[in-house]
Amino acid sequence: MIELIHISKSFGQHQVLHEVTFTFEDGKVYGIVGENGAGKTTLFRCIAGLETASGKISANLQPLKNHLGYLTSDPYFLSKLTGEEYIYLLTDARGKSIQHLSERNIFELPLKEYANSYSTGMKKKLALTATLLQDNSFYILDEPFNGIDLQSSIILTEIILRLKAMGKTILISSHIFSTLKDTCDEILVLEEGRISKTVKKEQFGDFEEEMKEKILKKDIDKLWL
Amino acid sequence: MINNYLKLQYKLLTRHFTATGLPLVIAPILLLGACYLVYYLLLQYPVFGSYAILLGNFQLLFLLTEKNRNDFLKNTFNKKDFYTIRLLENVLVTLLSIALLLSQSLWLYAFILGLLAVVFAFLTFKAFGKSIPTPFAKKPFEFIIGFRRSYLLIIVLYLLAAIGFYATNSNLVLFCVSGIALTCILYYQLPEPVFYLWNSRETPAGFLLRKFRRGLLQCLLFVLPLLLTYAFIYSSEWFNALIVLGGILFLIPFAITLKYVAYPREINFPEVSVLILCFSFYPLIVALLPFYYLKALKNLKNYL
Repeated sequence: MIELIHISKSFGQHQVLHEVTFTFEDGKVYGIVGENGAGKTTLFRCIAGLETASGKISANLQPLKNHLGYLTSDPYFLSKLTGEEYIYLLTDARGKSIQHLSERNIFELPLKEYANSYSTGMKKKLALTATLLQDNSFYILDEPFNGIDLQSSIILTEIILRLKAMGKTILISSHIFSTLKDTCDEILVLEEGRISKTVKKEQFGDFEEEMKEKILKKDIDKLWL
Repeated sequence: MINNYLKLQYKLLTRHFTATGLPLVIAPILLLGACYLVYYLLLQYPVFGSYAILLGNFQLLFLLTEKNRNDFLKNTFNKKDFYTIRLLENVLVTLLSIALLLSQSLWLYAFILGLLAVVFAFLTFKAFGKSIPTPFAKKPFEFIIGFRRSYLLIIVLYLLAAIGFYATNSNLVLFCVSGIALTCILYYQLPEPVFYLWNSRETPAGFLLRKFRRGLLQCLLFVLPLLLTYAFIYSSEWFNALIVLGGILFLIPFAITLKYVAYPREINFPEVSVLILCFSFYPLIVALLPFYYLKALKNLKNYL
């Protein structure tokens, strides 16, 4: 369980998060949606402890960061480090010893090649593999479906569902609604740094329709000549 | 076109100087002063000093032949401009050293360096198809990255050490061992992204201890074979080998400590000055290490 109480975060004069309060329960998958700049990544970084914020973040496992796997939206790889070495670096940092790595390479990545020469999708899959092999209790997946192919997308959906079945808590941000629909128990809508709405699984269909109507009405007519 | 490229390089250089926090006029003067000091120290032992100057410049020239960099230049400039730029870069990089070697009447070394500068302008070293294998894959990362960037220099130093053994020149062997150790120390000037540190679940003290252990182990894998052979062949001079070994045992942890004192920025003037000071008189580390170690612990608390 992760509890956020009145989390606020500013960068200079610009307030990105406003008093965000929410409880993420064990064994559930939460989707975070919002326009670009709504504060999703900042919220994730605050939960991970990579940014300082006012308010309180508590978890049933302490310290939270040692039990949290964080897949960033744009994973960074040092040059001259292979995929295999990146995985060892991240798992070793959590005190995990990985045996038979080649058998656990579910995305069939070229692990002997330099990670920074991978394509965007492969980088994401590599970072995800490393995060999963850390064997955490909580996961933050920032745009995990971005740039990955259809097969990997299906594998990733299955992975999320299995993690959920294992009682792990997962927070996902994605702009692809269908992926959230398939995996999430609840969706949080973030607007200008505030949780404007929470949507339960049974309301996903209505929410999708509502979003479509709102977005299409607002924007698409402007483009049509 | 070339003019613009050079102006851009100048801008980048001034940004590096500004990043040191020193006034723009002072930083280059200090850098030149430091270069002069290094050269002066090296030329106290003209033969080995010349080797060191050649090797240092060789490494710099080698770095400039990196494939991605050269591909970018080739895509941006036509063939003639590309080779002109590469020649200019190599000349600028080696000019100071060539001038110094000439001033010391070390004609042959100056000629070799000039030749290297010209030849390297026409070379592009492609990265290996997959990656250069290292025995440290399960214990990344500074050493692996550093080794892959400097493997050619390490090979050259090993070859020189072999020549030293063959020619019964014990000083040359010790010089090569020191060169390898210094190269290993330089691996720790690269700060990793905060996310890498965030992943660690260790306490700052545990984190540093693990880094020390690995850094020493990995460096000793390179230098111990040479030092043991040295102590075996020149058994009467075993104490020299012990002094060099002692230096390594102190300098590697010290370099790692300084990296995390400066973190998340790169090691800069203050840390480099301390490191140079300690490299020339390493018992000084005994006095300085505890102070900097505590500073590193304090700094790491913000990230771990």
